Amino acid sequence: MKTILIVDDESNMRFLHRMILESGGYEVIEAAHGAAALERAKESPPDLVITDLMMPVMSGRELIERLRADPVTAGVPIVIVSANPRSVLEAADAVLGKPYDPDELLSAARSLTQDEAA
Amino acid sequence: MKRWATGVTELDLVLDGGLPAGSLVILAGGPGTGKTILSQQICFANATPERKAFYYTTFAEPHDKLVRDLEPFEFFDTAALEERVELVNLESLLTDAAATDGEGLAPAVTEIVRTCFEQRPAIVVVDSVKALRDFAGERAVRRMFYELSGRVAHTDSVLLFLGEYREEEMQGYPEFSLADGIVQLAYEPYEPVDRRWLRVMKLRGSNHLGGKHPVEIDRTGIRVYPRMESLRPGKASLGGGRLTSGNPALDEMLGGGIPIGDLTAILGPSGSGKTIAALRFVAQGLEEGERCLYVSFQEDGDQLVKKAASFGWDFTAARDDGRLLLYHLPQGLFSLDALGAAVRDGLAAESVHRVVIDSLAELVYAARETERFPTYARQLAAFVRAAGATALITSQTATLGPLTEPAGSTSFLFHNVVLLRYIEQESEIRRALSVLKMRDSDHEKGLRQYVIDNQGMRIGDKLDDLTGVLGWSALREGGSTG
Repeated sequence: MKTILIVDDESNMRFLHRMILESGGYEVIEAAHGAAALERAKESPPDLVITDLMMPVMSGRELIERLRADPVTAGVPIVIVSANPRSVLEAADAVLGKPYDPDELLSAARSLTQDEAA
Repeated sequence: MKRWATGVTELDLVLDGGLPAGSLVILAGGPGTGKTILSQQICFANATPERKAFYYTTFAEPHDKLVRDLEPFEFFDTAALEERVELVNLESLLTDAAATDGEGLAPAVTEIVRTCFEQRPAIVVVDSVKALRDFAGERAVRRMFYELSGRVAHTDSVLLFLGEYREEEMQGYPEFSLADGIVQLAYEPYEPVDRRWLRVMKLRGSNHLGGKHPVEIDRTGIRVYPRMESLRPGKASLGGGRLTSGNPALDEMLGGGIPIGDLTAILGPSGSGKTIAALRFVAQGLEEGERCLYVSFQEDGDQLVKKAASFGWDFTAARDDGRLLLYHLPQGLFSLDALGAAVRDGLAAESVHRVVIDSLAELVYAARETERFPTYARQLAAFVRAAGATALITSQTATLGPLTEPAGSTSFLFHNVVLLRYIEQESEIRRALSVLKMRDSDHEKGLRQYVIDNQGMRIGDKLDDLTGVLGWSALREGGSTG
């Protein structure tokens, strides 16, 4: 089973992400900000990171930079889910606006984890 | 003292120039009073990519809902989120804090202070700070405010804390004594329409404007109308001289015209020609190349232009090129301070020579704040004088019988009073006018008959040999009925 790390400072958003992704057959782990997510990703690199941008302690931008800079996590695909969908970062593999269509999230997850069966 | 503008010009006036850098300000008010809108407006007014604004939420609206609700406002720019304005939720830090009891709020405090020092934002908002009370006791809250106000004082940032505090809580909670500023927003019933207001209860190091300042919320965001009585008009520097009213006979009665800077009342019953006299006053100004401001309650701009045209006075060109400013204030949505703002705006925009307010009675009745009226009118007059303008204010009196005025006797507020009357003479209702008073100037004491035709008000000779015309009827000297 593929593992997805969801990073968002709002617990309601984490709840929604989890519900959608678990319905698609993914294992989900959570972090409330970039620093917590970085720690978890280094411990055990997930198959995909879905992150917000604006968060306390460490922003999504900094999280992405650090994940990309570390050889252990550099290859992990990243999806940004943001209130401002136009703020596309080249370092990310996909960007979704809030609120998003659940099918879009699942579709992005399937495509980036190369998990046709999930 | 360095200050950050709020993005609401009139609020900056109330705040003595804006929010002081390095201060902690509480924005308190019940639900629906506009706290979120105002704070976001302040964020967008100041945020740049180099100096972002940070909007921390605790247990308020979800961010996507917040964005959806704010998108209709012109100041709000979704594309600028993250680049200029960050929406950040403190929930995870507060959940951790709940388990640590007395130290409850420390992680949130650290996050806010770190942001202030590292990112150097102009504005940091916490929405809602009152929710933090659910995560810590009284001592921890006091400590949080103590630490935040002390640390933020060493930065350029303004910490704006939003909270749904009740009046009694504002008197007793420690955060209100520790805060550098307290701005209260309120929403209260005021039939037929409710009204909002804002009050600055405290702002350290500032000479802010006291009192309740009316607030409106529209697509542009929050609008504040500073209370007229709290404003400080500049000093008048009038060079003397007189303006012509546009009616040579009236000028003669006034001893040579209206002294520049004076506030002149034209009192009279409905249909006696007050508006016509006011329009003539404006027409004369426009003919002399002056700028004029006309504030009306009854007729809107188009109706006034049409009415003036029916007497041969063409206002169209002056209205189009900005020499004539027409403000129509519909009843029901009216506030004394909104009118004050309209007049001050008109006076400030460019040099205005003549101001008309048509009419005082509607102003008083619409505002329903008669107790404010004498001080308010004095302030209005002071602004007009300070701008070097001359004002003419119409006011309704009873149709027949002894003179009655709105809001009690207001004649003392005016430098000059012209009285229009209906009189019964030889079994006919006719019109007559007199100059009731002029301050520091001689004037004609007699009564003159006038008619209204397609050229406006035509004033005739003095009515001799009549007495009693200020009562119910005119009598010829000698006792026979006039």
